[in-house]
Amino acid sequence: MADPEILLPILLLGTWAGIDGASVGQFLISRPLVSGTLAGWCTGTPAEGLMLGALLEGYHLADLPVGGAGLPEPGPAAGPAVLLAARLGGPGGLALGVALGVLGGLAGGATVRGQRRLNSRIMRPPENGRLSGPELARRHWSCIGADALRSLLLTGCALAAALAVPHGLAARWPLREETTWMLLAAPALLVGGTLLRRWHRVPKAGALLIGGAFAGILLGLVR
Amino acid sequence: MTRRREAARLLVRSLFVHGSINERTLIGSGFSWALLAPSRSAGREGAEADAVVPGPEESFNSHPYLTPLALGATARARAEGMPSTELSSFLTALRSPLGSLGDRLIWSTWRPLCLLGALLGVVLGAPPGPVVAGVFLVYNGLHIFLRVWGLRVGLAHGTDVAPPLGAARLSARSERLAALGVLILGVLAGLAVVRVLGSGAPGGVWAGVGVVLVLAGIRGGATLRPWTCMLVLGLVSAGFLLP
Repeated sequence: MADPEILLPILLLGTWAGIDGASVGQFLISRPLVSGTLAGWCTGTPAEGLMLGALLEGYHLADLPVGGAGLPEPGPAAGPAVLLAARLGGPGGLALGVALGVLGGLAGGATVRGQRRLNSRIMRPPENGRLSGPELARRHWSCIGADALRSLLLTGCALAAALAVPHGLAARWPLREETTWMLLAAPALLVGGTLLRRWHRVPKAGALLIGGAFAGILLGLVR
Repeated sequence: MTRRREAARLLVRSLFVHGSINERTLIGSGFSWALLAPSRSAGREGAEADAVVPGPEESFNSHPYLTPLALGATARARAEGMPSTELSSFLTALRSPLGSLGDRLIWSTWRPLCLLGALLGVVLGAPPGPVVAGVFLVYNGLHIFLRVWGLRVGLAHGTDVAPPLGAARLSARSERLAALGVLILGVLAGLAVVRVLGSGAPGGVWAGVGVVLVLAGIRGGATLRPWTCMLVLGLVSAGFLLP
């Protein structure tokens, strides 16, 4: 799992996820469901990458990047989280991978705020007037470059943490796989409630929710 | 440079406008940067071209996917010779609707809806490839459509973008999409109930915990967001630390 053929793509993917969050494109690469699954392909465990990415996504589904909200940035750390889960294996690896993904997301959010402050400094106008066109372009690209560097460093630190966790730690996890999944999915229910609160003014929201629940129960019984 | 090439260049640059987002001018400097090329292509060179864009020291904000609308409108207004002061007032008036409409349609509805759809696929056992490719294509279908539509509206109508923006009825569409989101949340809840009851775990306890968490989410809303991460870390720590 420490092969450069695995680490380098995850590092680049994390960098892409970091700049996709705001600086470039915003194509959804920054979401852990996408970056986690792509990292899963890098580690040869795409199904596990999808599942871990889905868990991390569940924690951040209701995040609204508006009004200068200080949000976590879960995308860059999702890859290292998947690597950690794949390296250690089992429910203990999954729990540690999720913890790394959440911690990495919180650290990422803090660095995003620092990046915005740095951008303010880079874009500060000269005292003797406004920026010239070429100077504006140079500073604008500097900001994007700094964001890419930030994402690279963030992903690198998370990768280092993923490689530093000893194998024996995962063996100390006391729960079996099914219970671990349910335990780790439970916090996402808070987020589900938040989304319901946001969408409660939708006409017939109650009927849609109950109808959907019945459909889900039927679907679950049939499967 | 032809008008089509100019539009394509604005569209590509719109992808990078948020690159210099900062606390002071928000995306003002990125917006000015994106307009540099069309200004020069209009025949203004050197210092004159540099002075023609709204100043990078001016504050501006917009939802990223609707930024091309403002870019197109500004480029058109500039080409028609609108004075800088009037253009500044226009952009000040535009920033609030572009921000709130985009936030409501995309961040508040479309993105969680697409990801909920993907999560439903995960729960139903869909393979990783179709799940990720599906959510990526569907989400970015509307994303790219909005950018192209916005740029065309801006270039066609200049500062008179309010009528086409209103006619697009983005708020009403947000509500319809949110209804689909509520339905998917219901389906996920139903699937979770069957999963818990069929797992052999003490179903009543899990169901009770689940109901409490959902109700807490409904009551607390976004104020509970930091607690989600804390709860995850607390659960994992407890699993390792408790005997």
